[in-house]
Formats: sequence, C-alpha cells, structure tokens
Amino acid sequence: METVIEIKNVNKIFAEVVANDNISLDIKKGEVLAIVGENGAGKTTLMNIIYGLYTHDTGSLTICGKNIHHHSPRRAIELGIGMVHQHFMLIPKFTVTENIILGQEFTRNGIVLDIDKAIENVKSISEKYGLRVEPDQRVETLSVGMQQRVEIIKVLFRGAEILILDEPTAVLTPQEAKELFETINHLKNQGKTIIFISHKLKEVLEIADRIVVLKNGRVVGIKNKAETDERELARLMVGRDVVFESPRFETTPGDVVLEVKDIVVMGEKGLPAVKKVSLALRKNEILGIAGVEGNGQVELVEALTGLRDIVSGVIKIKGQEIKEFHPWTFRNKGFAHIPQDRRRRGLILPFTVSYNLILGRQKEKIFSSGIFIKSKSISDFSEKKIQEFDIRPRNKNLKADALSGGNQQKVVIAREISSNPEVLVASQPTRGLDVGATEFVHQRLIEQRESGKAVLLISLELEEIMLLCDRIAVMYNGEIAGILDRKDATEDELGLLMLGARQH
Amino acid sequence: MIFIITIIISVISSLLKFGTPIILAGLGGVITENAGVVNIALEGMMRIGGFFAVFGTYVTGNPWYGILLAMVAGGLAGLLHAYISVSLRGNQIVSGVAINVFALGGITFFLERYFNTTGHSPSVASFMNKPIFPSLAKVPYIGEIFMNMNVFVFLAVVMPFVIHFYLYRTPWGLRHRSVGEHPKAADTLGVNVYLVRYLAVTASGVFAGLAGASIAIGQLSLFDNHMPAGLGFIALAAMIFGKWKPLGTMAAALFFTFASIVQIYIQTLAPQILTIIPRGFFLALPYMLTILVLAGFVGRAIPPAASGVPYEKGEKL
Amino acid sequence: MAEFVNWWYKRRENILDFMMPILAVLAGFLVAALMIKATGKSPLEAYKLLLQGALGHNWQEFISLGLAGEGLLKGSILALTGLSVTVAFKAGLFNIGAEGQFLVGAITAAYFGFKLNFSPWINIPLILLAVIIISGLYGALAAYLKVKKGVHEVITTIMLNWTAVHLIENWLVVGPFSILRFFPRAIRAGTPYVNDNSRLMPLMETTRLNASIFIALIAVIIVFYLLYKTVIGYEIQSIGKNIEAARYSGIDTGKSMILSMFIAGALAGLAGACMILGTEKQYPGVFRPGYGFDGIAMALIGLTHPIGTFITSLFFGFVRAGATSMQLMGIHKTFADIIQGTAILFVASQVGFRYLVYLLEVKLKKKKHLVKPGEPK
Repeated sequence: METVIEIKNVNKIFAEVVANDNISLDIKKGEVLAIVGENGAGKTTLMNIIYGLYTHDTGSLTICGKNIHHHSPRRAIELGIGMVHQHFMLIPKFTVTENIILGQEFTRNGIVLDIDKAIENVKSISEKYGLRVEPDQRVETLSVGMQQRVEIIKVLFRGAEILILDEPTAVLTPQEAKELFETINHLKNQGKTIIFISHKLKEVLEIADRIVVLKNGRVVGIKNKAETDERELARLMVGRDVVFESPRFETTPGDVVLEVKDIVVMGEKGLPAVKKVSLALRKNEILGIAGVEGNGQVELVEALTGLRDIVSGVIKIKGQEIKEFHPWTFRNKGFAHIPQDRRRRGLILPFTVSYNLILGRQKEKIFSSGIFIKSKSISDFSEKKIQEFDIRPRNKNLKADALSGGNQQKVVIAREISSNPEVLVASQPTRGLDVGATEFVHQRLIEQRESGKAVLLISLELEEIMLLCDRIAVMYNGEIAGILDRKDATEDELGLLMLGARQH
Repeated sequence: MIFIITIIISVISSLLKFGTPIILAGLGGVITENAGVVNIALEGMMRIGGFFAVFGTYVTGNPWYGILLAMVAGGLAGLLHAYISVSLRGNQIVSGVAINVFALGGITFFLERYFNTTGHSPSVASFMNKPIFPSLAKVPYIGEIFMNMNVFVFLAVVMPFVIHFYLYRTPWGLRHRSVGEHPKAADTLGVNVYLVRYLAVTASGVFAGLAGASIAIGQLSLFDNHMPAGLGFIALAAMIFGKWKPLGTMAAALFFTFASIVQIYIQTLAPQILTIIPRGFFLALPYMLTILVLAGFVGRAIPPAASGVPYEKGEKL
Repeated sequence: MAEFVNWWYKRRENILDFMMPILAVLAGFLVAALMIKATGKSPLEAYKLLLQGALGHNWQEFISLGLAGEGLLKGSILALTGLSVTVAFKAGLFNIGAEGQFLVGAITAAYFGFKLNFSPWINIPLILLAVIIISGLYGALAAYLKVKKGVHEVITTIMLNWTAVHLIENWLVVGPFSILRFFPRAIRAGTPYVNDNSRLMPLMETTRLNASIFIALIAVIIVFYLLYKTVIGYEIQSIGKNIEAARYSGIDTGKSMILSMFIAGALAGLAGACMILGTEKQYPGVFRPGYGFDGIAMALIGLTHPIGTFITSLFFGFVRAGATSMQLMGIHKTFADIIQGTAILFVASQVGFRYLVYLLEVKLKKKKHLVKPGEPK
C-alpha cells in the first residue's frame, strides 16, 4: 500500500520536556491507524505536528510525497488532512449546514447565500459516507454524537483524504461510539485514511488495522490488530518493571466517615458523568480512585465537595445525610479538598501567600474577631506554615502568582491539612510537580492516614495510587469498575479495569 | 371612523419620525455586537454625529455634506473603539465609557469654540420637513406618513431590512455572525476575525453618527448641547429588547417610541389617565422592560456568545 | 546593567501600576492642550488660569478656601461616587449605575430633608441613614439580578440609571414630591427646599465648602478598612479576584456580590445627598450633574484602590473648579471632561500598554540586553 505520511526521527521538546522522542512512523493510504498511550505519552503532540500546529525540532515529515518544511493548518487542509478536535469547533446557534460551509460558502450571483446548494452538498456527503444529519437543524439542539458527525462532514467538505480523530469516543455514549465506528469503516471503504487517537484498548482493537503504542514520547510498539491483544497493549502502555515500596506500617481501618450510595452526577454536556457510584471511606485509610482521564472522576470529586449537585443517590457523612450541596456544608463537616487545578480553584493568585493560607477559614476565631481580620495571628500562622511546609521563598507577603508550581501546591496543601480535616479529598495532588515536591505531598497524605484521618486520593498516575492507597477503586465510564485491596492489586489487573477491558 | 384613521396615520408618522434615531443607532449596536464587540458608546457617538452634521452643514451650506461629516466623525470614534477593543484587547466597557465622557466634554468644547455658545448652535439648512417623496405626501390619508419621511426616516425604514439581508442571507453576514458567536471556530475556517471586528465596530460608529445627524438636521436644524439626551442608551435597550436582530431592534425602537409619545397623546386626549399612571412610567418603560426581558420574565434574551470577549489569536491557529 | 534588570523584573508590576494614572492624566492634559492650541489659544495661559482658579491667586486666598474650597467640595462628591465604583469593582462588578444611585440618594435626601425636622445632629444622620438604605437597595438590585438571573450588571445598571431619571424627574419631582403640592403658588420647579436643620452648612463664611469633605473622608477610611481589614472585605476581594476559588473555599459568593453592590449604591447615594443637603437645597426640576459617570473615571484612574480613588477625585475636583476660571479665555468648563475622557481611554488601553512593554522586553531580550538572570539565553 502507498504511504501517505512518512514520519522519520521526529523530535519535539517543550521547555526541557521531551514530548516526542525520535518517532518514526509510516501511515498507509486507506488504513485505520490507532495511536494509543497514557496521558502525556505524546499522542497529541504528534498529531499537532502532522496538522501543522507545531513544528518539529528535528527529523523529517513527508506528506503525500512532499517533504514539509513550513507547515501550517492551512497547508494541512490543502494537502487533504482534516482534524476533528476533541473539543468541537462548532457554533451552537448556527445550523448544521451553516457550520459546514462557513468560510467556503456557495452564492447566487456572488451576493446571496445559496443555502439550497449548500444543503444539497451536505446531503450528498452525508449519503456517500453514511453520516446521517439534518442539514437544517441548529447545532445546539444536536446530541454530542450528531455534533461529531457535523465535524466530520465539515472536514470532508473541505476535501480531506486523511482524517485525524482526537479521542473521538471520549464524549460519546456507547451507542454513539458504535455508530462512529460504522462511519469510520465506511470512510475506510471509500479510500480515506484515518488516524484514531484513544486510550481505550477495547475500541482500538475493534476498529484499527494497526496500533501504535506511545510511552514517554517514544514508540514502544507497532502491532497489527491480528497479532496482539488487550493484555499485551496494556502492558506496553502502563506496565512498569519497578514499583516503589512506600515506607509505612499497616493500620487497621476505622469507622466509616463518608458513605456514598448510588449517586448520579451530570457532566458538562448534560449527560450523566457519574452513574450510580457507591463508596465507603473509613478512618485510617487512603482510598484511591484510579482511572483514565475523563471517566467521571472530576464530577465525582466535585459532588463530594459540594461544588456540583447530585441528581440522585445519597451522601452520608458520619451517618448524617447531606441535603444541602454547597462547599461550605462539606467544609463545616470537616472536609478539606486539594483541587485538581490549583491555579483556577485552589488559589487566588493575586492574593498574598498569607491570605491564601487562610482562604475559607477567614471566619474562624483565630483569624478574625467576627468583623475584623486579625492580621497578627494570620501572619504568625502563615510564618509557621511556611516553615512547616517549606514554602519558598519564605515570604508570606509575596503574591501566590509569583511562586513556582510546587510551592503553590504546598500552599494549598498547607491550608487544607492545617484545618485538621476528618476527610481529605486530594485530586491529582502531584500533577505537574517535580520529584521532590511529589514526595513531600505523598508524605503528608500518609501522615493524614496515620493520624486516624480518611483520605480520598484521585490520581491518573497508577504508580502513585499503588504507592499510597489501602484500597483502590477503578473508575471507568462513570462507574466503579472494581474495588481492589492493594495487596491483591497488580498493575496489569488495574490497567485492564481502567481500560474497560474487564469488569471486576 | 375617519377620525380614528387620521389618528392612526398620525401616530405611525410620529413613530417613524421619533423612532428614527433609535432605529439607526440600534442598528449600529446590532452590527457591532453580532461581531462580538460591545459598544456602550452609542450615546457619545450620536452626540459626535449630531454636532458634526450641523457643523458640516454650517460650513458648506449643504446638509448632504453634514450627513457625510457626521458619518465620518462617528466612524472615526468607532475606529478608536475598535483599536482599543480589538487591537489592544482593552476593556470594551471602559473604552465605551471613555468615549461617552470624551464626547460630552469635547463636543461642548467645539460648540463653544465654533458657535460661541454652550446652549445650541444657530439654525442651519436641514432635512426638516423635506419629504424624500414629495409627490406621495399629497396622497390623502397616508400622505402624512410620507410628509415626515425625510432621508433619515427613509433610511430607518429601509436599513433594518438591508442589514437583515446582509446578516442572514449573504456569506459575509454568516462570517460576521460566526465571529460574534465563536471567533476561534471562525478563525480555524479562515475567517479574518480582526478585520470583521474592525469593520463592524467602525460601521456601528457610522450608524450612530447618522442617528445623531437624524436628530440635529433631521428632526431639527440645530445642535443642542443636551443631545442626544439618553437616546443612545434607549437604542442599546432596543437592541437587547430586539434580541440583537435588526428587525427586532426596529420593532423594539418603535415600541419604545410609542411608549414615550403615547403620553403626549394621552395628555391631549385623556389627561385623566396620567393621574393614575404618571408620565415617568411611560418614559421609564423601555428601560424597565429591558431588565425584565434580560431577567427572563418576558421572554429570554441571549446575546451573541462571544460578545464583549476580546479575541486573542493563538500562535498558529 | 544586571542590577537594573533584576530591579526591573522585581518591581515591574508596581512601576507600571504607579505610572499608569500619572501617564493617563498627563495624556489627558496633553490632548486638552492640543485642542486649546487648535483653537488658537495658549494652553500655557489656560493652565495658568486653571491653577489659579483651582487654588487661588495668593496664599491668603488659598487659606480662605474661597476657591480651593470649591475643589474640595467637588472632590468630595467625586470621591463618594468613585468609591462606589471602586467597591463594586473589588467584587468583580462594573457599576455603571452610580449615576442612578446618585439620583436616588438625591431625591431621598430632598424628601426626608424637607419632611424631617429634628435638631441637626439627629436630623442629618437620620436622612443619611435613609439614603444609605434606599440607594443601597437600588444598587443591590443589579447584583441580585446577576446572582439570581445571570443578567450582566453593566446592562442592568445602565437601564436602572435611566429608570431612576424618569421615575424621579417625570414622576416624583413633578408629582408627589413637587413643591407645588406643598406650596401651590411656588414659581420654582423641583422639590421644596430642605429644612435648615437638614442642611450641611458652609464651614466658613469665605467658602461654600461644607461637611461633605468629612463625609467623603469618613467614607474613604471606612471603605479602606472594610476592604482590607475585615472578613467582609476579604470575601469581597476573593470573589473579585477569583470567584471560582472563592466558591470552592466555601464563601457565599452571591451574598458577597449583593453586599458589595449595596455598599456601592449607598456611597453613590451619599454623594447625591451631599449635593442636595449642601449646595442644591432641593432636588431641582432637571438634575444631571454626571457625577455618577465621573465616579467611573475616578475609580479607574485611581486604580480602583480607595486611596487612589480619593486622591484622583480631589485632583479632578480642583481641575473642575479651576476649569471654571478658564471661561475667562472662552474655554468652557466641561473641557475637564476631555482630560478625564482621554485619561480613561488611556486606562482602557492598559492591557495593550502592558503588552507593548512586554513586546519591548522581548525585543531587548533578543538583543540580550534584558535577560533575566538564570534564564536560558
């Protein structure tokens, strides 16, 4: 088969992080090529290089026999490459047809928009590739799956021969995903080339001809569908030889402090993101929530900290049912929360370190007299915490914005832990931190557990989960795919659960 | 019967006459907000337009030059707003406030400088009582409508349809609206977001300038220092009440005009009503209704999604 | 060089912050000078008149507050509306409605100033209390609609401005509160004069300056303490700087927003009350002093800091008072608006201004002049 894209020894480095490390890959005409890998494995970077959003540092890129030096999205479109982004680029108030033709409209006598001709065009593409859409409908009334179809037609309308689909199933229901696969087969039969990015192995094995596995920016395997299975791919993707042992002693879990029963939580798209999840969190334990990004963890955390309403189900704290869903309800009941996004939620960046250290606790007696804030006690407290948590530079009056990521995270952790919480919800607490800071955070979480508190740790890093947790719940597609004791858990086992390859 | 028809005709005629500045300025608002830039300086731009219409006419003796100068002056004010909002990505509200304040002081300054007064300018040639279709004005009954229809009123009747056609029936209109709804999506499809915004904001200034001229040399033949006395803000309200659409804005403008002139009719025909519902309520009605509409009590008004949000072009997108 | 570079990076934000209002005002004076020049008059001469008009021709006149008192008086009113905008801004809200809240305060003061007649020490505080409550609620309405219905406060406050204008001037002032209802043979328009016990009397015989300056001073001190020393202020600033983090931390963001707009409305209302109880004595038939819009200018040029707003307000108070004497040269006093308008335009472009500074840095960096120590070249 003819090679349409040839990637040779491509390197891409972002501020000392190697995103693509000496990647070589041939993409053949008419194949469905899947690219799999964990978050941060370099999949998106590679696609952005092909689409002209990034320029590679070294190596060569050949598209349709042409060696590409100065690449751009416009050039990519000319060369017949189309990209369907994970976040759709659609205008909700416009109709399907208007979205598709925008920028390449048909006119009558050069002035009047020829919508009829446009609709005909859309219809013929839609029939040719089996992409059923209503050309007159407004996009805002469409389901996510329909919107994706519009995006695909948009790309085909512009004459794409090579389609890049960036995690297309992440937002789809299983039925919609099935329809998408039919479409992909249809497109393939018409001679289109499809590059499919995913980390769900089951679907990859269903749809792809060849599978490329990326890990840490490198190609660690290129397999034909027939020659491989889920277990092998999972090992290539997440398997590690070394597991760090944490220096800790066994504790016996105490009473249940948080009980969650059958809760359902809606996601951003208006579809249930958490589907009937039940959990129990006990004193003296760290319960880990593992899973690939976008399987409902964010919504679960938000529901358990009062930031998002639950649609149905029950949340009980120490036996008492929660009726009012506000962050303050949870905080008053002894919850603390290390949020996933410290810059957006965890800190008020223009505030000083000192002010950030008391955020949420400003009404407490030690920090205020009810009306006036006690500057002296706040600054004493801050100095103590800056020492204790080794926040650098040691200047409580510095704006949080001026701190490095690791030190910003220390501020958040210092604040949340110093409120002496019964339950600490830690959402990806080490994201973006270096080794030293990561270790520091881990130490604090273990200390919580050993002082008889309960910790809920949500992480995308399997290694971290394995290192810290007593029990591990795996989330897949909004559900708990299984809860394992750490003693019984292996990375292989967890990997399969995370990828939806096995129901426990 | 004839009495009622006469009244209806006379009401329509006055509605068009007094609604004209609101319609024209409101269209300016529609054009800019549909491209994603908020312009609360319609008031100031109308003031600028009104003054320069009189000034241009005064200097040349020809009110057509007055119109031209009003459009140019309004357009320049729009260009300034575009530069701050689009190129400098400044705060669109602050910029609008600044232009309003500037127009307040600057125009008074000019009025004093060129006409030696802070009251009103001397009379100039104008389009007042200059029907654009004088022959139609002689037709019985409906003639009165055309009697008041000078060039501004004519534009106020025609332009909403033109802008409607442009926005919803032409490729440029489609691109225009896409910039106001989702500039990034528009950009990825090759629409020049900055250019569309510049043109739209400048055009809104031109329309506001025209609106100002329609008072100064359309309804009157002089510039008064109180002009436009809040009509720019009513235009803003009409645009919202009209759901950011040209024909809706025209309807809202006429409705608001009705609310403000109906009390004049009531005063002459049935003054006892004003003792129950004071005049102030009729005059405040447009503003109160706009708040109710926005709050969702009377239908829901949703602005273009990207209105008021500066657009920063991604490095390579 | 390295020392300078270090110093620049450490202090850059502070320097730019401090420079902004000064540059903005200078730009305002420059543009105004060009306009004066364009009319064939001498800007220097004009500014000399402005200075004399603002402060007095000599030391004695300055002390007597005959002229300087006018600046302080205007400055006090500006400061109150400016603080109104500042407080709202701290909560992340743009209060375009200071004008309407000002008018609501003015009519409230005019009504109670006429109706209540205790001794001044009881009467005036009672009137001001009524003003604080009514104007405060009028301001809070915009925040309430934002919190409950998601309506943008800019549009609501603009609409509330004009609602206030029409309901006051075409209903209250000509209807229930009209002077004609109390004195049928009056020849003035507007409301009746307030009682002497309600008046803010001039402090000295030589000046019109009255207790407004003290009200403004107390207001700036209270606002300063409120914003920077109290729990309420802490919460208001939190929602203004990062509402998502404030919500996450358990702050009742809706309550803080409504409270901040209540305070904003009350401050603007007090400005209106000071005008009525001080120099106006009644709510006149038409009353559009524009102090509400000026408040936006004061807050923005004063970097939305209470002290900055106060200083800016006094400065522009003097400019406005001084501008009156420029009429000797045939320059209208609203010319102060030109200075103000230009200064706000400048402030509006500050994102762009900062961007230009950044571009300059990048350019210098390429020439290796301005490389931050420790940064890879």
